[in-house]
Amino acid sequence: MNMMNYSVQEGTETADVTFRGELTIRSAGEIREILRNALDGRRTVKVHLEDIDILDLPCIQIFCAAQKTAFATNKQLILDAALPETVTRVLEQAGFYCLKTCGHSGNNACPMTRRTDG
Amino acid sequence: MAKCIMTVDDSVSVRQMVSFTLKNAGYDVVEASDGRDALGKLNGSHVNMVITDLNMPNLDGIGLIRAIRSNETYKFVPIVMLTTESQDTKKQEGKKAGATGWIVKPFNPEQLLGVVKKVLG
Amino acid sequence: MNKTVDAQSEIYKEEARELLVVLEDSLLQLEGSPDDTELIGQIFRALHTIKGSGSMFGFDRIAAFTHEVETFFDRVRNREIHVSKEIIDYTLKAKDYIKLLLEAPTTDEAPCEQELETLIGYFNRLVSEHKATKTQNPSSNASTTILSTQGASLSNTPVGLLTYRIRFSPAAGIFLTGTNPLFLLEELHALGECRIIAQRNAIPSLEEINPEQCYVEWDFILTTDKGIDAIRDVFIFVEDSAETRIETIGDPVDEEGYKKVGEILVERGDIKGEDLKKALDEQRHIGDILVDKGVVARDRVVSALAEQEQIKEVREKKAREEAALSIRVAAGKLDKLVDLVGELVTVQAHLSQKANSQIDPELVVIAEEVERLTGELRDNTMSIRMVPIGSTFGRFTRLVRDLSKELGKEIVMTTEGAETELDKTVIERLSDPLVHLIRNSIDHGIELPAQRESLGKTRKGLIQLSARHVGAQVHIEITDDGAGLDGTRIREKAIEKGLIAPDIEISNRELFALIFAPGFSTAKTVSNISGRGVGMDVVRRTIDALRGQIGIESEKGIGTTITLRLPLTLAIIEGLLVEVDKDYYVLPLSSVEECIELDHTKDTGREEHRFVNLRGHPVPYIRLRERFDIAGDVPDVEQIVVTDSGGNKIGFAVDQVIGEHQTVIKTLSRVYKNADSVSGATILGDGTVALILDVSKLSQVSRSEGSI
Repeated sequence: MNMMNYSVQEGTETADVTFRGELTIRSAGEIREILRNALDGRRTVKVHLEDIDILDLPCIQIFCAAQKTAFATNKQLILDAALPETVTRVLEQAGFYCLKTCGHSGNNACPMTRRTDG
Repeated sequence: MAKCIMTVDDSVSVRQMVSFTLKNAGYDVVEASDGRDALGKLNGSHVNMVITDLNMPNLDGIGLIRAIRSNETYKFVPIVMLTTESQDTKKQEGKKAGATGWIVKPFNPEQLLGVVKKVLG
Repeated sequence: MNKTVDAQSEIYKEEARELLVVLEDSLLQLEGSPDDTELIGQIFRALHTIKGSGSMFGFDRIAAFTHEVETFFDRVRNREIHVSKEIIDYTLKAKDYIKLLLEAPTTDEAPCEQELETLIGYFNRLVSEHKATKTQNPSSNASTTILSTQGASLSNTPVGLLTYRIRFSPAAGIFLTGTNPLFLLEELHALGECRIIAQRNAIPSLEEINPEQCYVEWDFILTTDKGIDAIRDVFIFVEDSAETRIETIGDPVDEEGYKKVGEILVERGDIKGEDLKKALDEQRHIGDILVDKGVVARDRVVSALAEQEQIKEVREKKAREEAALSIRVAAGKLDKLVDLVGELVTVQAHLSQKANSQIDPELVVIAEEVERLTGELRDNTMSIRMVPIGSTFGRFTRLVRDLSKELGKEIVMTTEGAETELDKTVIERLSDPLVHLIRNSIDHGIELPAQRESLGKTRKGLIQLSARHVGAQVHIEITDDGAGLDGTRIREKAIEKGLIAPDIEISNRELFALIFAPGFSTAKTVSNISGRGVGMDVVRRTIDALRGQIGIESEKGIGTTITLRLPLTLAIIEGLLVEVDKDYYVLPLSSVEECIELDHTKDTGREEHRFVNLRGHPVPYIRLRERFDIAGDVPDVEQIVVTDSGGNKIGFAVDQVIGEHQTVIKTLSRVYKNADSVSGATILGDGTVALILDVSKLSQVSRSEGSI
């Protein structure tokens, strides 16, 4: 009953990772491995989350950690499309909406809440 | 997909009351008569939450909570135990075993749904 | 819904019947093998289910009775009580009784009450006999309150809008209890206006992170009227798996401006005071500096900023609401309104009287309706004049500060009940007496810091100002923890001033009351603050004029409490209506102590000395008939209304006491301004005018004339 699936398009400089379905604690470990591999040896990783249904706290933590790691190693983790509205609402309610001030990414927006329009 | 809740109780009347309330609120419900029955029915199926009585034959509530928490697939599933006001030590035991919350009997449907909302969102 | 309830009761009954069969079988088997733990467990479970489910479906009698049996069997299960034939007999009887309850209609009385008592008596006796041996009493926690997540707000009385600062720090392992903290945040949002800032500083790198641990904590700024218990209820399941700190920021609406970000962070313990000082020396945005210095995480600063924003918003909202809800009116217009309502009350009383004498049911109905409306109109009008006493209290803070500095004393003043409402006029006239009393406390009451320390008190003296409603009165208390009154000194002084005879025995209360006598002062030196011996006298007269009373309690070395009891409003008086030869007078009820008869056919008093014997104490009295030069003869039996004004008892002899009378006061025209023994007049239902007597003035005047 794993409700999450993903696909990776690998290039030499960048990788595109697309997640779908329910990103819950049961998948958190897997997501961590996927992001680690994607960041390995590449400068930029684009994460696509437009088709996810659920994003729970453990997975939010994983994305924050990935952002922190990317920043520390001069890499980029970019959220490439708007999040589904339900997920955005959860993030805002949980207080993960302080865009400009994300301490992990210096002056860059936290990938969790970056919108295409902003 | 509707969320699925398992209700575990050796009392048919309580099980039915819980089941009736949850179904009315739009949840899917699986019923089990004791801890052993619950583990059998859990096996691989899609269950988002467990509501269990504590005093049951074969495998009691505490044992069931321990078994669920040590199962890779279900270890993060919220578990709410049904206690009576005189079972405070049992409640502590249940919390230690990994219960997410509790409801004190007697409870009414609103209270039940309140607790479900608290742990299942 | 009823149908489902019925259906569920039927299911319960069916189940209970089955369980009772199991119970009986197991009990019978147990007789053969009394040590079979499996059997005992089965019996216990059957009882437990009958009880638990019974309470769920409204079978309260079954639940209550089975609870007793279950409590007992829990002991058996824990091997504290050993199974005997007698026990099995009684448990079988109990099973039969449960069956009886189950089949009896629930609406009836409990069947066979005698049987019930016998059984409960038996089980309770066994349980209590074994109390000494047991290690844990399973029913000792019976009072644990039933958790109600929805009902949380029911048990909470609304506490007004408050803003809370909450820090919620889940333990790393919280996910392993199946808890999703995000749902709790959702619940908080539902309580009120809520800002949530996730603190992500502790999230490690991708390499180090354990996906099953929680690294985030949260700061919340929540404005809600649900009370702190409702907030605690949100976190009830995570008491053990999270640390939750809830602080009230207080009612932020009172203060001007709000705390600076730096202050908030220090208050929360996020940064140290010295870090703040260093950062403030640089001329940049404080948050940026602190973050750049690595003193505090960025999220913490964001959280502090959120607090500022929230407070600002709450204030603006409140200001907007208040602006929309209140309207300023000239006081003169209000006075006129009160006046008119007063006249309306009088006319209405007249109407009611007339209607009742006309025997016209229709007119009576109309009159009653008018009476009801007039009453409401009167109460509403009076309430418009009510203002909170807080602003007056506020002024004293400065007074205390300045005076204590001047005298080299250290004093803290606290106030309580600032929201208590009183008539505007009363509050205005109360200001001077309160200043006097507080000055007295500071000057004579609170000792010098060194002296206090040598007495084992705190350096800082305490003055407490409090106001509260008691019935139709407001009680204002000024309490200090100073030296207290010195009864001996007061006594000496009173004798010296000729206020009391040297050989007279009087109680402390009466002694203390003397400090309000004209020309009395006990201060050794006359300072420019108090001690001129006029203050307390003036205080008493003002309070008298407000139809209030002063109480004084004091213990030497411990402190003094002065209580002012005041009527809520000056416009209405609770009085005692009396009659002298068809003329009516009203005595303020607040000063009336009792009424006694003065029977001239018997010798109850010495006529020539105008004293009446009140339980062995002589009480002087004034005969109103003589005082007001009313013609006619004194009746054989007069009534004496005994009043108390500032500790002095004085009687007023009248022809007849009519009864209590609530009335609207009309001030007398300026023509009568010299009539100082009369404080006003009122118009009775039939149009007659009654004069309202000023008890303390009357007694003063009489005393100075030497007539009493």
